[in-house]
Amino acid sequence: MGLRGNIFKFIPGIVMMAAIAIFARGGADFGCPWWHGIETYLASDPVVKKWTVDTLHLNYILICIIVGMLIRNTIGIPGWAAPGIRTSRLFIKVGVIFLGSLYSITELANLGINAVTIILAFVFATLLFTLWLGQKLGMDAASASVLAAGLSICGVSAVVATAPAVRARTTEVVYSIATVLSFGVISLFTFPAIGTLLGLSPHQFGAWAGTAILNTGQVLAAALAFDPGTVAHPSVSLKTGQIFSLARVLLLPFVVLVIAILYSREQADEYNIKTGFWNRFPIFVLGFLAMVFLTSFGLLGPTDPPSRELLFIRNLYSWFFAIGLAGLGMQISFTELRKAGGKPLLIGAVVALLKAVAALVVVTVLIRP
Amino acid sequence: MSERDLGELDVLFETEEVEDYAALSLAALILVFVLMLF
Repeated sequence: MGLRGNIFKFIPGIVMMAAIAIFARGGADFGCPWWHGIETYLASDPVVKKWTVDTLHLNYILICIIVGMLIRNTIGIPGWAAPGIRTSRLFIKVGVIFLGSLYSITELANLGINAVTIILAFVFATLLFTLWLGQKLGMDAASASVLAAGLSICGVSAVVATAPAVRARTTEVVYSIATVLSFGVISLFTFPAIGTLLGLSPHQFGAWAGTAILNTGQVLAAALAFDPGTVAHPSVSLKTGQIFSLARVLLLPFVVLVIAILYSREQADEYNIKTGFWNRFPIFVLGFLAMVFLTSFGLLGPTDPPSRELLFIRNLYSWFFAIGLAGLGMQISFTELRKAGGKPLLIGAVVALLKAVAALVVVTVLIRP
Repeated sequence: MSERDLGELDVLFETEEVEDYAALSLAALILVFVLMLF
């Protein structure tokens, strides 16, 4: 569903996502100072806190996703809320743009060089390994290509972007999306616990999550679960994870291009490489870069200590993420996930596990705490 | 795979760009609001 048409039909779903976000995060910013958010209540009892907050990292972000998943998989999404819930990705994107207010140009350049090197190696290694494994196990070229794109770049968008280039059948697309989403959901809940267990620094965790977790929303959620940060001291994991995730998103058009070239060679097919490439450039990333420039040149006031404008924007992106991720949770259907099966699931399991372990090794060796 | 599912996937292909422009416009509007507020 596009954003055209009657704007009012989006409101009920957006209100529903916002209600979940307020339930998890508290109502102080919305005129309900008496509601402190479920996270605060969990933290008030030492025993409950030890298991939920300290061990499982259940902060407002994960609570939003869990509540969303519970609603979707028990009572279901009411028809009147469905259009609004589909705007969840829009909220995440606006949040990502505002996240630009955390960086300076120098910082972005330093982080960016590390991120691009690691991401470039991982994306193309995963891509080629998945294609090779797919061929070895007798998968057809189109199925292997969509799965390879999904496992190397950013999950669902990559699968969807590659599908027309290789003329994949819809069942192959659905299998690949379900496989990628299943691993995303598993890593969302396991990565923060593993990171704590191994004593990773927030910076190392951000790099690991940004390299190994496929979906941008899930990278942000895992990073915020590991290191929630505050408005005055924003999450370091989130800052690092975001750059790694964006570096990967920016590679999407290149991967589609490589797959399209490899596939057309094999099939003697003609795919409009030029149009396919530019159609897939993630334009919202330009907003993020604009935000970095505005902050670096002091248009939003001093950064240290942060100005009122910057503090307002940082609080705002936390709300945008909370609302967007509640919607993301409501899009995770266990019935859909059960569609994952056969070879995509087997290959997905091998590749995702190898990638998580390899990324962990590379990050602990190359990234200083 | 039903026709409906196919239709939904087609819509996904189309809207990513629209969504990106919507995100940029919304962020710009909020930014103007923030700059006016403080």
